[in-house]
Amino acid sequence: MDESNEELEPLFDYRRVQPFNTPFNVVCLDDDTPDSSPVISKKRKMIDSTAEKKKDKNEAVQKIDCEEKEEDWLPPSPNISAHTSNLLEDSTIKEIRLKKKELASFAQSAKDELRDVEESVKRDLSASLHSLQDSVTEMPSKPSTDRVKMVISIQDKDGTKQFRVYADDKFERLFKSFADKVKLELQNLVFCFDGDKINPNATPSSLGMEDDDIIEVHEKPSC
Amino acid sequence: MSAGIARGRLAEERKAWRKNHPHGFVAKPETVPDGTVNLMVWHCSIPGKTGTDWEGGCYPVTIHFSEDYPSKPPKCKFPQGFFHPNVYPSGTVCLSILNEDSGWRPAITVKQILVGIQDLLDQPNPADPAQTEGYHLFIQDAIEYKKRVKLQAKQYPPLV
Amino acid sequence: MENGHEDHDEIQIEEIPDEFQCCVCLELLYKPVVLGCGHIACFWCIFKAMNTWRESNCPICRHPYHHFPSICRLMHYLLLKLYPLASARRVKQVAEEEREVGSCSPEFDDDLSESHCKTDLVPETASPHYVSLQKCGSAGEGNHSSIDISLDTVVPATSSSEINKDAISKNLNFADEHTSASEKQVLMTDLLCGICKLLLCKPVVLNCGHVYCENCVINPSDKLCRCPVCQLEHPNGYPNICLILEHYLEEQFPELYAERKRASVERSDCQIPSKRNRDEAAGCKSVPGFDLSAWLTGGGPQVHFGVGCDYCGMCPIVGERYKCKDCTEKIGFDLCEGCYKSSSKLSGRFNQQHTPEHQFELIQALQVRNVVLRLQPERLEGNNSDFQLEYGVPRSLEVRPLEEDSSETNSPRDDLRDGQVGNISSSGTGDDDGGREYADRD
Repeated sequence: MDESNEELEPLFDYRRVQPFNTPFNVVCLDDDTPDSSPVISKKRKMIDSTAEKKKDKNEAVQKIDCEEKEEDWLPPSPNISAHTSNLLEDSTIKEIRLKKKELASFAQSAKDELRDVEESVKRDLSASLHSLQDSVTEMPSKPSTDRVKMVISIQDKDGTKQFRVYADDKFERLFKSFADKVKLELQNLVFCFDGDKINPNATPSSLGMEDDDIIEVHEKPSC
Repeated sequence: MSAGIARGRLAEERKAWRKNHPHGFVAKPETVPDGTVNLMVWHCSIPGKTGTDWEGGCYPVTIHFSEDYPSKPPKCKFPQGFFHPNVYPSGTVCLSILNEDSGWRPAITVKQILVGIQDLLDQPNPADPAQTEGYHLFIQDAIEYKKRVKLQAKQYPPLV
Repeated sequence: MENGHEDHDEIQIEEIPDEFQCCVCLELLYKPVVLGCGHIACFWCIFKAMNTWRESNCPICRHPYHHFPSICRLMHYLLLKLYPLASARRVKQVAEEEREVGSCSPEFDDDLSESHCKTDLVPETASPHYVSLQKCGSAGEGNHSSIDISLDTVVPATSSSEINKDAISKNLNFADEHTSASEKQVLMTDLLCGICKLLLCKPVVLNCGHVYCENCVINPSDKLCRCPVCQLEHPNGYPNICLILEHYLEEQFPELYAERKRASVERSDCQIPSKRNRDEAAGCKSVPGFDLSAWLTGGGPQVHFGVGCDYCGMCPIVGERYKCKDCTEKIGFDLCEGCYKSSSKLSGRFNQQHTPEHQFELIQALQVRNVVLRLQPERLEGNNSDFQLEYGVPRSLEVRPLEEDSSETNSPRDDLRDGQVGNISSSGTGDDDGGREYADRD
């Protein structure tokens, strides 16, 4: 547990009083949902600083792979394949493809705008009604996939690793891929959320988890 | 003034905690039997530091916030009778950063409080005793003190 | 789990970097107040954390201060520009809180860019800058001009529907580039020193809320610095550089700022006050020193607990207190002796509708003899609401009862002037040294 202490923030937040230069970089984790605003957590910045790149809206979408093995268990997003195949083709086709993509993104952004208007009008009407608000705000994450995806971090004493999972997918799969990754036996690992052990049959949504929530993993004492 | 910022601030703290917190620590607002969440009382758990006699224990702490939070510090309590020189018999933690007149500043967060208490576990402050038993053993009988601390660590095993 | 809705209104708003989060409420700074030590918090957060009986301490470094500073408009407008969506949300949220409490924070209902230039630049040269600002605003940004217009209406926003409309128009504009667009809107003209008319360099925020370069406003031959715009003195020695603002300048205008800093170093060799001068200045306060023990023995100046001066922000008022007889707001309108006698005419701290025609009356502070007659000495430590009733002292600033802790943590208040000295109950971690975090001047 010693190592984990090193990444604790100091008891007092010196950044408020001392020079502190962090460029406002944008980490783009989930590019296949262009309308979701990128969320940055400080922790993630630290860990993935090598993979960190600025998002460039003009460029064909860049995929930043925080988890190299991630695609083993999630279908690759269509953008990736388009991007890689681009490299192999000649410039005309490339141009056409870019045009096409541009058009597609225009269509998408128009759609987004429409939805935004619709949503804000709705919100305007139902500002005080939480129940209504809830149903409205859930919408943005849905359009590209029918299943809600979220980012869950798994923290061990050395740091955190991020995983993109379906909110209604059993933890079993996530745990297994984590165990593979750290090369430990699954049965020696215990996963906790908010101090409670997680049942592998539960799902992120059944535990009420939100994007960017942390799961802690503990190794069972070897005896 | 009724419209204090205590709840808003605590909701923000909770949000930040969910996204990032030190390994092994737990901090969550109390859920009352009817299922609603009471942000004014948090149930927390502090792991003993590795390499110290406190290692292996996960010590429960309850934090009680007042409506004046964060102008005033919250009150942090271990279970009654907790063995530590700076913990009152009632379990209340005696720590400078939790004292309004000395170390408390509204900028201190729950995370900093818990890490501060974790530090205090292994580094008691003999200048400020809060219980006789812990204090006397700490001053006079290092071996017995160590034994008691290790015993207590077993008394509060981690969840896993 | 708890409150599924706690995140939801956040979805459409910008990510707020830590430095622009208020350390007290952990939300976007709203109507920011900069203390003499250079630390920032929201207007209401500072106000609520203030001590009504004695000097207050900075919520970040515990640096003591006796004056509630005015809102820093430059930073207020900067944040509005940088985070329009989050600001709109805060406007609404704070308006609700204020309605509940029945007090208001100052409104700046003037036009965004104009007012800023008018208030923060020394008047006679304000107009050229204003013009140039407008020009680059429309020429350089093309399709963003609509944003600039909609922003202007955020400021006076009082009705919630108006805010929502704004949010809608912004949602549209920022649909695909809301990070880059918001960055672009901040122009150098938003961040000028009112004295040298150049980009701020080592910005210091005075008690009146105006921002200047450290070198411009601090004159080592004078122990006090005075704001050239509103003529108010900055109490309590020289202000510290506001590091958060400085970092922002460094990031936003890296080359220009580096150049400004170089130039200021050359100048400062002869100008900047030495450490010793600084300490002397800090010792020479514009407030008569206040000592609770003197008050208890009946000597020393009068102290009006829980009452603050609406001009200079001194709280509690030490010395004579003048109360406006005509202001009807619950919070009242009071001035300290110095401000009553000065000619400055400012608006109140809480948006009171005070006018120069209003009449004042001199109010006597509680006399220690009377207090002792009616109260047990311990009760002085306890709840002071009794004498609110008995003496009918009108509330001006919130009077909070002193802490009623359990017997365990109670510590005698033998030195009420400085919390650091009264360190009676424990200090466990060795981390109790509030002093080490005082805003460092580089």
